Amino acid sequence: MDFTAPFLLTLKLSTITTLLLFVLGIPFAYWLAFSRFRGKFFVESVVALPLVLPPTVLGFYLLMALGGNSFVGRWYESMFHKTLAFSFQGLVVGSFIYNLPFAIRPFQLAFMGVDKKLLEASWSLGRSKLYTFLFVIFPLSRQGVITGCILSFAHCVGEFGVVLMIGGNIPGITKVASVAIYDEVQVLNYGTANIYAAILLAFSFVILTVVYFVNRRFLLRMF
Amino acid sequence: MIKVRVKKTWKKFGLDVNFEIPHEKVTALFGPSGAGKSSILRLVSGLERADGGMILKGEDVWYDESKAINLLPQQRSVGFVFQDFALFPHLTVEKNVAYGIKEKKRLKEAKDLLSLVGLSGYERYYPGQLSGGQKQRVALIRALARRPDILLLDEPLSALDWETRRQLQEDLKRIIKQLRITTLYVTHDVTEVYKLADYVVVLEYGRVTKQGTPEDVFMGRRLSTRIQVVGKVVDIESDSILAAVTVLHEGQYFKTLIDTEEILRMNLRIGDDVVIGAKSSDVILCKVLTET
Repeated sequence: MDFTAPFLLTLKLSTITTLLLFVLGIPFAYWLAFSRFRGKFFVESVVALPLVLPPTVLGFYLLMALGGNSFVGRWYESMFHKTLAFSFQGLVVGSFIYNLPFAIRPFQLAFMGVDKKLLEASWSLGRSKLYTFLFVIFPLSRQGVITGCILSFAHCVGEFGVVLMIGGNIPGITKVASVAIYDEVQVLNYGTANIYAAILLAFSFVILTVVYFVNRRFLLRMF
Repeated sequence: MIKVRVKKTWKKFGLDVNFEIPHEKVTALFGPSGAGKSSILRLVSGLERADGGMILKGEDVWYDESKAINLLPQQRSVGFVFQDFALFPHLTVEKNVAYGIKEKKRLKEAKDLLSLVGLSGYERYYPGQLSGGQKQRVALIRALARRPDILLLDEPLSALDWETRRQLQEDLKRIIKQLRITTLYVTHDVTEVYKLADYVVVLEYGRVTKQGTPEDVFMGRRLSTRIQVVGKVVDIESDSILAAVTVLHEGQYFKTLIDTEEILRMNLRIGDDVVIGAKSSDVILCKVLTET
């Protein structure tokens, strides 16, 4: 088996997930930060669930939700003529949901941290909410947005349970680095497992060091 | 002319006011803190919505509860100067000023405005690099840059030290008069009312208690609350800021410090008859103990 394939797959999955979280997560976080919807706490708890749930629980229900017997699974099959479960696309969906809190929470906190007076100043200067977001809120939340992206990327690299439950371990399609380690250990191939593990360890450590170095203050507020 | 007739109730406070803001004049909203002055600015600007009443700008309806009309702040042409300036910290001075300008040549216009308040050369500075007075000027011209129908100033000088405040009062007066812009000015400082305002609306506990020219409004209040000494001016030592005026009263001398400008305005000379007045709240009485 190609030694680098699991890593390339991990990188591909993490990059796509992070991009999706950035594109979809920012409007969502904006809504969470500024909406006066009374049931917001409920939505917030749902988003935070992956923080506390065992990944296998989340993976199990996602498998049920995406599998061939589910509504989503059947719809996907009729559209693309392949299953969502045990495919790379299915992994992306799972990773996206699993990593939501790691992106949404920093985004939301950063948006909420922008001085309300500045937003009011922008509105009173005749600028729309969208313009205000693009030119005031977003630039002033840069730290939080970067932190959210790096954290979800790193967390995505490290995920195991959800991926295994939804994707299994099909080489080149769903067998990411963390799953590869598990496989190698299963066949008592400790040497290879060690190399994979060491690379992941080093990678995660570097990422966290960078994040903490770049914005210690922001993280202190969050955790 | 802008007509304001609004009601709003918060948990512990209610506002119920009715007054007019004359065209191209400076109207001061005067009262102690907690009287609801800043809330009125927020209602006029549309940052907050009232519970009832209306706000009319000439023929335009900005707010009318009975017709369920409430224009957004973006749709009302207002320039709001916040108490703590609210400059965008990530934008340069010129970009702050140009923020509300929608025409081309935004930066050129911002540059012209900056020179109006003596800040040429500061275009590329960030707000964090400016002094309080400079920030205030930037906030003022940023609000004026989009040529609003009304300028709203929320205690614009209260965050500044005495000396800067004095200087800025002059600048404010000059700029507002020069641009002939309708202004609503929130303050709790009587001197500012006298210096800047054509009209004053006095607010207490969320109600308008008096309105009119500063002279009309404060004259009665002054008489009832002041200590007065009538006498003749015997000496004036003045420098550019303060003048020491000595008054002779029944054989006693009273020396008092007054704004030099005030002296010039009154054209005061030695030998003139004057009244020295002080607010009773500024007078301290002490009982003199005598040995028996």
